[in-house]
Amino acid sequence: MITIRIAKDFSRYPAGRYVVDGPYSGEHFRTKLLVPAIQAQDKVVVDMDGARGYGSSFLEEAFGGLVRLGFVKEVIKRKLEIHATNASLKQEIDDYINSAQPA
Amino acid sequence: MAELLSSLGSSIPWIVAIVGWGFTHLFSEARERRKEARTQLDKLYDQLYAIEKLAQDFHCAKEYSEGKAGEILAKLQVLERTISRIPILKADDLVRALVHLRRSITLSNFDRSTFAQQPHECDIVQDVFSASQDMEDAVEGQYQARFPSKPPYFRIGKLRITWQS
Repeated sequence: MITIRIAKDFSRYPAGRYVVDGPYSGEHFRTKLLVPAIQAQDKVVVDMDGARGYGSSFLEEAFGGLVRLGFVKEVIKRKLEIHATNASLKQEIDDYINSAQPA
Repeated sequence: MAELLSSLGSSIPWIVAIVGWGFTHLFSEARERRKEARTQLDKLYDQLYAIEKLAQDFHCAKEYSEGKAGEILAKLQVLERTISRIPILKADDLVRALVHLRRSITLSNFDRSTFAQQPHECDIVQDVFSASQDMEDAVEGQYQARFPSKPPYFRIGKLRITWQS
Protein backbone atom coordinates (compact mmCIF):
# COMPACT_ATOMS: atom_id res chain seq x y z
CA MET A 1 0.00 0.00 0.00
CA ILE A 2 1.15 3.50 -0.78
CA THR A 3 -0.21 6.85 0.35
CA ILE A 4 0.03 9.86 -1.94
CA ARG A 5 -0.37 13.10 -0.04
CA ILE A 6 -1.08 15.59 -2.77
CA ALA A 7 -0.18 18.67 -0.73
CA LYS A 8 3.16 17.15 0.34
CA ASP A 9 4.11 14.89 -2.57
CA PHE A 10 2.80 17.01 -5.45
CA SER A 11 1.68 20.56 -4.70
CA ARG A 12 -0.44 22.64 -2.33
CA TYR A 13 -1.71 24.44 -5.43
CA PRO A 14 -2.79 21.77 -7.90
CA ALA A 15 -4.41 23.41 -10.91
CA GLY A 16 -5.12 22.92 -14.57
CA ARG A 17 -6.09 20.00 -16.74
CA TYR A 18 -3.14 19.53 -19.08
CA VAL A 19 0.60 19.91 -18.66
CA VAL A 20 0.46 23.08 -20.80
CA ASP A 21 -1.86 24.63 -18.18
CA GLY A 22 0.82 24.68 -15.51
CA PRO A 23 3.36 22.63 -13.58
CA TYR A 24 0.82 21.03 -11.23
CA SER A 25 -1.90 19.89 -13.62
CA GLY A 26 -4.15 16.87 -13.39
CA GLU A 27 -2.37 15.26 -16.33
CA HIS A 28 1.00 15.73 -14.63
CA PHE A 29 -0.28 14.35 -11.32
CA ARG A 30 -1.71 11.30 -13.07
CA THR A 31 1.45 10.63 -15.08
CA LYS A 32 3.96 11.32 -12.34
CA LEU A 33 2.28 9.81 -9.28
CA LEU A 34 -1.04 8.08 -9.88
CA VAL A 35 -0.27 5.71 -12.76
CA PRO A 36 3.05 4.42 -11.36
CA ALA A 37 1.41 3.88 -7.96
CA ILE A 38 -1.57 1.98 -9.38
CA GLN A 39 0.67 -0.16 -11.56
CA ALA A 40 2.96 -1.07 -8.69
CA GLN A 41 0.63 -1.32 -5.68
CA ASP A 42 -2.49 -3.19 -4.67
CA LYS A 43 -3.80 -0.25 -2.69
CA VAL A 44 -3.28 3.44 -3.36
CA VAL A 45 -4.53 5.96 -0.83
CA VAL A 46 -4.78 9.51 -2.13
CA ASP A 47 -4.92 12.08 0.64
CA MET A 48 -6.56 15.23 -0.74
CA ASP A 49 -6.27 17.36 2.41
CA GLY A 50 -3.86 20.26 2.72
CA ALA A 51 -4.16 21.64 -0.81
CA ARG A 52 -5.67 25.07 -1.41
CA GLY A 53 -8.52 23.64 -3.48
CA TYR A 54 -9.19 21.49 -6.52
CA GLY A 55 -10.72 22.39 -9.83
CA SER A 56 -13.04 19.95 -11.54
CA SER A 57 -10.83 19.94 -14.65
CA PHE A 58 -7.88 18.81 -12.52
CA LEU A 59 -9.95 16.04 -10.90
CA GLU A 60 -11.47 14.89 -14.18
CA GLU A 61 -8.14 14.68 -15.96
CA ALA A 62 -6.32 13.02 -13.07
CA PHE A 63 -8.92 10.35 -12.24
CA GLY A 64 -11.22 10.13 -15.26
CA GLY A 65 -8.03 10.14 -17.35
CA LEU A 66 -7.08 6.78 -15.84
CA VAL A 67 -10.08 5.20 -17.60
CA ARG A 68 -9.19 6.88 -20.91
CA LEU A 69 -5.66 5.48 -20.53
CA GLY A 70 -7.10 1.97 -20.42
CA PHE A 71 -7.31 1.18 -16.72
CA VAL A 72 -10.40 -0.89 -15.95
CA LYS A 73 -12.92 0.98 -13.78
CA GLU A 74 -13.35 -1.90 -11.35
CA VAL A 75 -9.58 -2.16 -10.86
CA ILE A 76 -9.32 1.59 -10.23
CA LYS A 77 -12.15 1.47 -7.71
CA ARG A 78 -10.64 -1.54 -5.94
CA LYS A 79 -7.15 -0.08 -5.71
CA LEU A 80 -7.93 3.58 -5.17
CA GLU A 81 -8.97 5.00 -1.81
CA ILE A 82 -9.67 8.71 -1.54
CA HIS A 83 -9.20 10.44 1.80
CA ALA A 84 -10.72 13.91 1.95
CA THR A 85 -12.23 15.99 4.74
CA ASN A 86 -14.43 17.60 2.09
CA ALA A 87 -16.81 14.80 1.13
CA SER A 88 -17.70 16.40 -2.19
CA LEU A 89 -14.22 15.66 -3.57
CA LYS A 90 -14.65 11.91 -3.14
CA GLN A 91 -18.10 12.06 -4.73
CA GLU A 92 -16.85 14.06 -7.70
CA ILE A 93 -13.88 11.74 -8.30
CA ASP A 94 -16.22 8.72 -8.21
CA ASP A 95 -18.44 10.48 -10.77
CA TYR A 96 -15.51 11.05 -13.15
CA ILE A 97 -14.29 7.47 -12.90
CA ASN A 98 -17.82 6.19 -13.54
CA SER A 99 -18.55 8.49 -16.48
CA ALA A 100 -15.19 8.33 -18.28
CA GLN A 101 -14.90 6.09 -21.34
CA PRO A 102 -11.78 4.29 -22.61
CA ALA A 103 -10.18 6.24 -25.46
CA MET B 1 -57.54 15.17 53.71
CA ALA B 2 -58.95 18.70 53.72
CA GLU B 3 -55.53 20.02 54.65
CA LEU B 4 -53.95 18.08 51.79
CA LEU B 5 -56.46 19.48 49.29
CA SER B 6 -55.93 22.94 50.66
CA SER B 7 -52.16 22.52 50.33
CA LEU B 8 -52.54 21.28 46.74
CA GLY B 9 -54.81 24.18 45.92
CA SER B 10 -52.32 26.70 47.21
CA SER B 11 -49.59 25.01 45.09
CA ILE B 12 -51.45 25.48 41.80
CA PRO B 13 -50.26 29.05 41.23
CA TRP B 14 -46.68 27.89 41.76
CA ILE B 15 -47.11 25.00 39.34
CA VAL B 16 -48.64 27.32 36.74
CA ALA B 17 -45.80 29.78 37.20
CA ILE B 18 -43.11 27.10 36.82
CA VAL B 19 -44.76 25.54 33.75
CA GLY B 20 -45.21 29.01 32.25
CA TRP B 21 -41.57 29.85 32.90
CA GLY B 22 -40.58 26.55 31.27
CA PHE B 23 -42.53 27.31 28.10
CA THR B 24 -41.20 30.86 27.95
CA HIS B 25 -37.65 29.58 28.32
CA LEU B 26 -38.23 26.93 25.63
CA PHE B 27 -39.56 29.44 23.09
CA SER B 28 -36.92 32.00 23.96
CA GLU B 29 -34.18 29.40 23.49
CA ALA B 30 -35.69 28.32 20.16
CA ARG B 31 -35.85 31.95 18.97
CA GLU B 32 -32.19 32.52 19.87
CA ARG B 33 -31.14 29.32 18.08
CA ARG B 34 -33.14 30.34 15.04
CA LYS B 35 -31.54 33.80 14.95
CA GLU B 36 -28.09 32.29 15.39
CA ALA B 37 -28.69 29.81 12.56
CA ARG B 38 -30.07 32.55 10.29
CA THR B 39 -26.96 34.68 10.89
CA GLN B 40 -24.70 31.73 10.03
CA LEU B 41 -26.66 31.00 6.86
CA ASP B 42 -26.61 34.65 5.78
CA LYS B 43 -22.82 34.63 6.04
CA LEU B 44 -22.76 31.40 4.03
CA TYR B 45 -24.91 32.99 1.32
CA ASP B 46 -22.54 35.97 1.20
CA GLN B 47 -19.71 33.53 0.47
CA LEU B 48 -21.84 31.81 -2.16
CA TYR B 49 -22.72 35.10 -3.92
CA ALA B 50 -19.06 36.15 -3.84
CA ILE B 51 -18.09 32.91 -5.59
CA GLU B 52 -20.87 33.40 -8.13
CA LYS B 53 -19.66 36.94 -8.89
CA LEU B 54 -16.02 35.85 -9.10
CA ALA B 55 -16.96 33.02 -11.46
CA GLN B 56 -18.88 35.36 -13.73
CA ASP B 57 -16.00 37.87 -13.76
CA PHE B 58 -13.52 35.08 -14.47
CA HIS B 59 -15.39 33.50 -17.39
CA CYS B 60 -16.42 36.81 -18.95
CA ALA B 61 -12.96 38.40 -18.67
CA LYS B 62 -10.98 39.19 -21.81
CA GLU B 63 -7.95 37.33 -20.57
CA TYR B 64 -7.29 34.28 -18.42
CA SER B 65 -6.52 35.17 -14.78
CA GLU B 66 -4.52 32.67 -12.78
CA GLY B 67 -5.06 34.76 -9.66
CA LYS B 68 -8.84 34.67 -9.98
CA ALA B 69 -8.79 30.95 -10.75
CA GLY B 70 -6.84 30.31 -7.56
CA GLU B 71 -9.14 32.55 -5.56
CA ILE B 72 -12.21 30.67 -6.81
CA LEU B 73 -10.71 27.30 -5.83
CA ALA B 74 -9.80 28.58 -2.37
CA LYS B 75 -13.24 30.10 -1.82
CA LEU B 76 -15.00 26.92 -2.92
CA GLN B 77 -12.96 24.99 -0.40
CA VAL B 78 -13.73 27.50 2.37
CA LEU B 79 -17.44 27.31 1.48
CA GLU B 80 -17.49 23.54 2.05
CA ARG B 81 -15.60 23.88 5.32
CA THR B 82 -18.02 26.57 6.46
CA ILE B 83 -20.97 24.29 5.70
CA SER B 84 -19.42 21.50 7.74
CA ARG B 85 -19.17 23.86 10.73
CA ILE B 86 -22.80 24.98 10.80
CA PRO B 87 -24.52 22.66 13.28
CA ILE B 88 -28.01 22.73 11.75
CA LEU B 89 -26.74 21.65 8.29
CA LYS B 90 -26.26 18.05 7.24
CA ALA B 91 -23.17 18.46 5.05
CA ASP B 92 -23.60 14.99 3.52
CA ASP B 93 -26.95 16.04 2.06
CA LEU B 94 -25.31 19.03 0.35
CA VAL B 95 -22.54 17.08 -1.40
CA ARG B 96 -24.42 16.92 -4.72
CA ALA B 97 -25.07 20.66 -4.68
CA LEU B 98 -21.40 21.34 -3.88
CA VAL B 99 -20.22 19.10 -6.73
CA HIS B 100 -22.64 20.82 -9.12
CA LEU B 101 -21.36 24.24 -8.04
CA ARG B 102 -17.68 23.34 -8.43
CA ARG B 103 -18.26 21.64 -11.77
CA SER B 104 -20.27 24.54 -13.14
CA ILE B 105 -17.36 26.92 -12.49
CA THR B 106 -14.19 24.84 -12.87
CA LEU B 107 -14.82 22.02 -15.33
CA SER B 108 -15.03 23.96 -18.60
CA ASN B 109 -13.19 27.09 -19.71
CA PHE B 110 -11.22 27.13 -16.46
CA ASP B 111 -7.73 26.37 -17.77
CA ARG B 112 -5.28 28.56 -19.63
CA SER B 113 -5.13 26.28 -22.68
CA THR B 114 -8.89 26.26 -23.27
CA PHE B 115 -9.98 29.64 -21.89
CA ALA B 116 -12.05 31.93 -24.10
CA GLN B 117 -14.00 35.03 -23.09
CA GLN B 118 -17.66 34.14 -22.57
CA PRO B 119 -20.70 36.36 -23.12
CA HIS B 120 -22.72 37.19 -20.00
CA GLU B 121 -25.66 35.02 -21.15
CA CYS B 122 -23.52 31.95 -21.95
CA ASP B 123 -24.31 28.44 -20.73
CA ILE B 124 -21.42 28.45 -18.25
CA VAL B 125 -22.63 31.59 -16.47
CA GLN B 126 -26.22 30.35 -16.50
CA ASP B 127 -25.11 27.02 -15.05
CA VAL B 128 -23.17 28.80 -12.30
CA PHE B 129 -26.32 30.78 -11.36
CA SER B 130 -28.37 27.62 -11.44
CA ALA B 131 -25.88 25.70 -9.26
CA SER B 132 -25.69 28.60 -6.81
CA GLN B 133 -29.48 28.74 -6.53
CA ASP B 134 -29.67 24.96 -6.08
CA MET B 135 -27.19 25.24 -3.24
CA GLU B 136 -29.16 28.06 -1.60
CA ASP B 137 -32.41 26.09 -1.97
CA ALA B 138 -30.85 22.98 -0.46
CA VAL B 139 -29.48 24.93 2.52
CA GLU B 140 -32.74 26.81 2.99
CA GLY B 141 -34.64 23.50 2.86
CA GLN B 142 -32.58 22.20 5.77
CA TYR B 143 -33.17 25.42 7.71
CA GLN B 144 -36.94 25.21 7.12
CA ALA B 145 -36.95 21.58 8.23
CA ARG B 146 -35.27 22.62 11.46
CA PHE B 147 -37.15 25.87 12.01
CA PRO B 148 -40.52 25.69 10.24
CA SER B 149 -42.41 28.92 9.51
CA LYS B 150 -45.49 27.63 11.38
CA PRO B 151 -46.00 27.45 15.19
CA PRO B 152 -44.23 26.34 17.30
CA TYR B 153 -41.47 27.47 14.83
CA PHE B 154 -39.06 24.71 15.78
CA ARG B 155 -38.92 20.94 15.82
CA ILE B 156 -39.12 19.90 19.46
CA GLY B 157 -37.12 16.71 19.01
CA LYS B 158 -34.28 18.51 17.25
CA LEU B 159 -34.15 21.24 19.89
CA ARG B 160 -33.99 18.69 22.69
CA ILE B 161 -31.09 16.93 20.96
CA THR B 162 -29.27 20.25 20.65
CA TRP B 163 -29.66 20.89 24.36
CA GLN B 164 -28.30 17.50 25.29
CA SER B 165 -25.22 17.71 23.08
